[in-house]
Amino acid sequence: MTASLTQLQPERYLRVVPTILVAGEVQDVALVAAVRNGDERALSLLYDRYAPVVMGVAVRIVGDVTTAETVVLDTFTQAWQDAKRYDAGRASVVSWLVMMARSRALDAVRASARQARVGSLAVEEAPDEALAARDLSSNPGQVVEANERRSAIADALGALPEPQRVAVELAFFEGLSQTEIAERLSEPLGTIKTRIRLAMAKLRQLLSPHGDEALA
Amino acid sequence: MKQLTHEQLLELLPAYALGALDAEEKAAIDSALRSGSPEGAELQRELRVFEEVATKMASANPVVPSAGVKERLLSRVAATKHVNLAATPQRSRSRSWLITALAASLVLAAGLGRYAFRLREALLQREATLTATAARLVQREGTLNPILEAEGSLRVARLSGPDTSGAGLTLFWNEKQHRGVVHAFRLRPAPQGRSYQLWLIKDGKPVSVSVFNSDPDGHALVQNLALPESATGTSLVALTEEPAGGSPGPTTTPFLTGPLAK
Repeated sequence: MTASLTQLQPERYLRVVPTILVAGEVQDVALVAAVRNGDERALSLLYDRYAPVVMGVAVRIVGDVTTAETVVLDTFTQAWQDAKRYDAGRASVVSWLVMMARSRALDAVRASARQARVGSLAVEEAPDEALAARDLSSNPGQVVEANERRSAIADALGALPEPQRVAVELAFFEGLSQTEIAERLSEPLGTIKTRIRLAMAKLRQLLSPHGDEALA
Repeated sequence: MKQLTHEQLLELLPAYALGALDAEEKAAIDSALRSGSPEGAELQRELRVFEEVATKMASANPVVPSAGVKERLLSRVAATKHVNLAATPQRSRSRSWLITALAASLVLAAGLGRYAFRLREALLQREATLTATAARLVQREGTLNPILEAEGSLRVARLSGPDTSGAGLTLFWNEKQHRGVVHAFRLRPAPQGRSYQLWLIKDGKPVSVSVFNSDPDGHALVQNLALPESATGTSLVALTEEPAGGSPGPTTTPFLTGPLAK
């Protein structure tokens, strides 16, 4: 069995990412529980932990630091007010915060009637003002972690065919529906749906460190 | 509203996680998520994974906000608490009564301050413990449900090897739900840059179903494993060591193998 097994190629591969709450997630959930009870220290810890991620998403979407900081402020204010609605079974804490920030950032963009950008900013093309002025250099641990994360995510996005990456980024960072993306790129809707599905499947595979571990 | 099959709904989840569905498709997903059915629960689990993927993708460039943002946040929150306190019914009572009550409260608070502080710390600790326990229960449920709900459609493979380390692995396959759970034990963590990869040998060909690693204590638990719709043709299950992230096909000799039994 062994010899023939190593010579054969499987016809297809199944993607597997189980739901596992890792230690960091448990701490996050406990922090939100404390925020729900009106504990400002817990909110402060939650902010220290995730404000840079939330700010990074906001900068990417709105394109300027001042508006992005307003998004960050509003996101954590909403977290304070809506902590009782948080459901650990539905989303990790960081996803909960990022999705709130995305929604607020897109609202801000729409409110200012900013022209949607064709294509997207690549990772290395993020606004210089924000990244240069507000890097993480005050905390060496964060710098190492951020660099590793940036590299892993850039690698994962770089592994996607360009049309797939563009479709995913237009959806997330510009808030376009699949129909709107198809119109923007003058491509059939079915093509865009396929690109997004394939891209997310690939990212799912690549952004999980051991293939099957939680994505926290 | 569109009537979509469960498989069609699963296919829409990546776009749903990106917020890219049109209203009608989004409504179909929302309805299924609220249904409370096992299919709805599966959709929820899958959606959680895709939202994590979107979050990670969006987290490439963290940027530290200026210090003033946190100050404004904490001021805003403190003001909210103050407003909430001021909005309580006590406000309608007389000012002198309020001052008296406040003074009495301060005296009491001063006397009981340390005790109250310790009590609050203990409560917070208890809350954190409770939440962590609840999270562990959710995880344990995720392990048990695919096994308990399988009823007559549970297939099990017990893998063992020739070495004397006692390493083993059990695959529980809920054929009805196309889901499984993997539990490995006494399995040393794979060397740096390597992972373990689980294969179904179906009609003589290997099909990858999971890439994982074990904990330092030799345990590994993989839940919510997506498996083929049918076990027909699968006679054997095998575990190999592969480069981290897995291989398209086995590149090493399986060191744990076992038949798939009903």
